[in-house]
Amino acid sequence: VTLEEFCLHLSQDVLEHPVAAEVELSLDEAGLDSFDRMMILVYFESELHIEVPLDLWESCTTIGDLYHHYQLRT
Amino acid sequence: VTLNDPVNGSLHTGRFVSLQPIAVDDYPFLLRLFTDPEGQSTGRLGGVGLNPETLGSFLWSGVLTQFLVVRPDARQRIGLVAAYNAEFRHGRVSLAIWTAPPFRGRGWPMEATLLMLRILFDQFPFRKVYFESIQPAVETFGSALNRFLTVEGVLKEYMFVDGRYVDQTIASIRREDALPILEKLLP
Repeated sequence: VTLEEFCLHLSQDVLEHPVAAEVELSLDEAGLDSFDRMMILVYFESELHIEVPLDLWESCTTIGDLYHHYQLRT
Repeated sequence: VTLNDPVNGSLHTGRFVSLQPIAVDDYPFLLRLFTDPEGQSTGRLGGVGLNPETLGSFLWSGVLTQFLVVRPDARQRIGLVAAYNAEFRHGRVSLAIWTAPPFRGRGWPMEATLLMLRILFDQFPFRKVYFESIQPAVETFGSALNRFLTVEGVLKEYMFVDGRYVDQTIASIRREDALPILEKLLP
């Protein structure tokens, strides 16, 4: 799965946020609000079966960080 | 019930947070939650002071049910989620959540809102749950508006906050729309 595919999937199924495909884009700059962030976590666990500890999640500031977790767990 | 004795009921437990009954031990946290200067203007008090001696009656005024939001793995108090202004004749109730400053904007505490929705539709015959929020707070869950929540109205320049009048948004979700979403999002 490429980053583009991942983000495309993420954006289609969860975020519907086209700018999310930029790795260095911060979650704040991507315009992800609290609801988006919760949906990402739910998506990671329920769809990708990846459990991201909340402590690690707190350290995620960019889309790339999210993808890094995705790569580590798959 | 204390943080050392969490509730593990399936309705009250999510992936990230749990809801547990309020105990007197929680009052200091709740007092700080409602009198925190950072959230004073937009919070439940709207900047008005709170007498610690009347915290209990304040907490339950107009409230149908409410729970402390906790993070079980870290045994942390996160906030409070409440259902209020219940109208059983008309089948509607309002829902609100308040989170402590360190947890605002994090995302995962919002799972408490989903848990409360599940409880309200599972335990009561409500047909609609309403959310009323003023402008700064609406922006924290704006992506849910017109996606999961229906915006029913915007009261223009309705509340005086931080030196200016801001809009209040009234949104709702119907039982038949909520149940499939909750089934998908909650464990």
